[in-house]
Amino acid sequence: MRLLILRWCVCVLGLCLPWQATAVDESSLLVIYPDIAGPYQGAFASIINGVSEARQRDRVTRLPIRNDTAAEDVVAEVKRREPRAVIALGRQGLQVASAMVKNSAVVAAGVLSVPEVGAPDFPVHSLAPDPSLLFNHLRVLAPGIKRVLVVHDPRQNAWLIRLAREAARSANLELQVLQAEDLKTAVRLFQDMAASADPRRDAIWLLQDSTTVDDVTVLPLLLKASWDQNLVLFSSSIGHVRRGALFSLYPDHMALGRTLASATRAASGAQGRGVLPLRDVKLAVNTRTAHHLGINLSSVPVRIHAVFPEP
Amino acid sequence: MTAVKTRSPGKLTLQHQLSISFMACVFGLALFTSMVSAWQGARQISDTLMAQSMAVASSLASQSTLALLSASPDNASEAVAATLAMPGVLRVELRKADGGTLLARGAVLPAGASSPSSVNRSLPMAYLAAEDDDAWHFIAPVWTRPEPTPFDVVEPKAEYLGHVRLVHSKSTLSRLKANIYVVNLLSAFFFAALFLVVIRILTLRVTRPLRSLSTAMDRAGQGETRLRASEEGPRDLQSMAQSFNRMMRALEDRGEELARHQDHLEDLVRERTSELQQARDRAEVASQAKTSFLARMSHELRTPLNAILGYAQLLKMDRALSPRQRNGVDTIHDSGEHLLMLIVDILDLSRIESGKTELRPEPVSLRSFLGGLSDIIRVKAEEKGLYFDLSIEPSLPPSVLVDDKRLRQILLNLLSNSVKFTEMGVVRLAVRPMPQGDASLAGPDGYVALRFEIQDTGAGIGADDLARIFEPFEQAGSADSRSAGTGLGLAICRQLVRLMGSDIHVSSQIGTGSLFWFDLSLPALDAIGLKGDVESSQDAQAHIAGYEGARQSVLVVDDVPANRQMLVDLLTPLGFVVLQATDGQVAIDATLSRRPDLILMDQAMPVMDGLAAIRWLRQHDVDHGQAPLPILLLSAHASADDEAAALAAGANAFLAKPVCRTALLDLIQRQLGLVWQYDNDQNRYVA
Repeated sequence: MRLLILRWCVCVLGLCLPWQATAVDESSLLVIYPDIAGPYQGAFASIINGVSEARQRDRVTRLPIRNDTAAEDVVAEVKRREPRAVIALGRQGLQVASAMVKNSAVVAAGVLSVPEVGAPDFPVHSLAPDPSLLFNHLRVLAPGIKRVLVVHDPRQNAWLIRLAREAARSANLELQVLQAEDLKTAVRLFQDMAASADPRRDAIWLLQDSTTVDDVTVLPLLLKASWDQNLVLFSSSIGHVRRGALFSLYPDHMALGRTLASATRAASGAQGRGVLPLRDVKLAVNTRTAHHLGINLSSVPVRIHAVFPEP
Repeated sequence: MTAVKTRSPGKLTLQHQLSISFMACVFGLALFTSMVSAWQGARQISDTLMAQSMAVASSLASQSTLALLSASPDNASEAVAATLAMPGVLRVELRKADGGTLLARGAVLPAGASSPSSVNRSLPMAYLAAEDDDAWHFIAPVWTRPEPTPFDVVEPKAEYLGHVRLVHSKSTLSRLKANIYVVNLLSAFFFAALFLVVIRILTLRVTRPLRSLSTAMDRAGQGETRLRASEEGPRDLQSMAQSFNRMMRALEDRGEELARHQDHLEDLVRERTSELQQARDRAEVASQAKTSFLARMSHELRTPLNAILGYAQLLKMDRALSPRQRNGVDTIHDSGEHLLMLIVDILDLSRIESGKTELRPEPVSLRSFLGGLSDIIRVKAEEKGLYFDLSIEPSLPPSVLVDDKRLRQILLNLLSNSVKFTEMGVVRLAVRPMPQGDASLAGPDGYVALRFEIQDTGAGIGADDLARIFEPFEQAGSADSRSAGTGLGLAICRQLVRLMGSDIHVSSQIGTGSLFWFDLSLPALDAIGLKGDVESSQDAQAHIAGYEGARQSVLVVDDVPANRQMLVDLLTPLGFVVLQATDGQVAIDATLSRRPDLILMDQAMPVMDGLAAIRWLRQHDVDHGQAPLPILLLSAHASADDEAAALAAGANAFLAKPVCRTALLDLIQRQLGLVWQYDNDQNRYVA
């Protein structure tokens, strides 16, 4: 009875003071995530749900970080809690995870890429779809494609290009990689690329690269060229499909959460490091573009999770 | 009574004043509101146009990203063309980050046009970089627009690509401004005109009753009656008209009442005037009757006195009279003289009191005049053993303008009184000029104030008597002690002095004497006076016994036999041949039959009076070229008017009855140029 009352009190306090309620609990899994509104909130929520779903036996606690919260405070809070494992989501989560002393297993996710310099000493599950999955889907949707053209900023996506090169080889595709460190160069490269591309065998791959892929200039430019030339344009961002790219892979957040939960378990034994591409993906296809390109989706042996324009 | 205010032609009517005031206010208000609203509208339009231009510039900047990124003007040509097609956009330029022109289209700006020198990259949106009279110059920076997500480990940064310069004309603004001004002004003036019409109607509605009331007031002011103002228009004007009508009714009532009073008053005045006229007529009749009575009485009294005094004088010349008889004759003569003096004084006082006496000022030599007076009084004083003193100030003017007869009358009267009432001591006459400031009479320049003082050491007058001694028939003292006299002397003196503009004063003490004085303000003359010598003929003629030369014939004309006889008795002893006639006609006949040397003509006679006879004789002499016959008129009518009438009729001289022998002989001597022969035996005559 006394224990029951104690637990009840802890629960009440936990509801009132989330930070205080989760006092030292070595069996808990702490999820640090940005406390933001808007569409991204749903993504983080789904990931956390996935984590919780995978770790039903463990206590999964959440630590939202507001924009105005100093990273040091969060670090101190994490330290005080002493969780067994930490899942850091988003840019802010990554920053906290990088700053904290690693007494527990840490897995980061919810970011696109990690700079090569100063890379964290824990595994980071990127939101960038695994190139091999992309290429596989490309081979299914547009079997005639032999070459994939891509422009990237090496400061952001050098790791991904490395994976892409391997994946291309595996998929028997030629990967032409162009580098640009500013938008102007990227535009010029894309223009040249679009001008010189052969629609029958070339496809252009748009990365999630804030330097080279600009939705205002580059995307319309490429969409127009793609439409005009029947050029296959695929992307790592579902937003591009909505605007006219042929297909994209987008995160399956629940699955990602589960993956992260598994990763924490794996990381607790031997702490790994490095950026991992997103493999928990779903397929989004622009049916209009596909129809324009003459692709018969009904005959494609893949599951399409989202279609655009939305019916 | 209030004066009616007439309308001045230079001033505006109330209606015009109201109209002009309202018109000025409405037009001023219209102008002001239209200006303000136009200014406000122009400002809003300007703001809107600027906002639109900035939006266009921003839009163009957004659409120019690719062109700037690719350094290809073609990528923005459509957007630029679309922008230029928008109204008011004059020129569009795309400039690279280094400032170089990527694209420039539109109108070529003049050399002096404003051109922004630098780009403010800190502003994310389009802004107004420069402005001149003709155009706005907007600049919109062109940046890349990366969209950060929470999934970016490194937040993407925007990159500056260049800028868009858009020149927007102000012609639209100016045109819109002008349109707003015109529309506002027109609408304002339209409504102002509308208001004016309304105000005009309203003022007409107000001023018509006012004009009507004003006209009614004007007509009332011009004296028109039975006027009523029409009670129309607004309530207050109706009240005014009602008040005016009430006032008019009240005025008419009062006017009628006044007219009734006036009629009654006129009747009353007429009645009173009639009564006064009757009283005046009665008074005039009474006065005339009194005058006639006095004149008649004077005539009637003088006529017998003439005989009495004449015979008394004759008897006094008779040396055969015993002393007792002579005393009796003297008494008769003195009583006659007293009676004559009484008559003269009564007439004189009556004439003065009735205002018929007029002063006849003449230049008079004061010293000579006073010397003559002194001679007369001195004789009388010395007869009573009194000393007479004449005191004349050396500073006395040589001559003055004064009625010497009246002044002599006053002074002789006062001096005679002093001599009369002084038994011993001195009688003094002092004349001195008074300083102008001290004189009781202040005269204008050229006048001299003279004080005449008559002092004596006589019995004096009691304080009780002082107040009444100037009353007629009053004498000081008890009845027993009264001296002989008419009692009119002082009354006449006071009246005469008052006639001369002054008054007579007296101070006296019983047993010490009396002092009479009066001040006269007289015009001073430098020339020596022409008159002043007292004709003191004396009684030298009393000793006349006859005349030298041939005998002279004298025609005595008088209807009273006693008077004729008296003159016969008077003249015959002196050697005159005396003829007689009973009236004027007889005298004429006698003259025609035997022309005398002199005629003594009575005035009042039956058949033909003296004046008519004289006039006939004078005309006869003229008609026949004869020398005028000396005629002396002897009349019991002794007034100055009688004398003037006699002289006007042609008489050579006038002598009042009773005839004074001395004066008569003197006149006869002058008219006939006689040389008297005197009787050396002084004892035969008593002067």
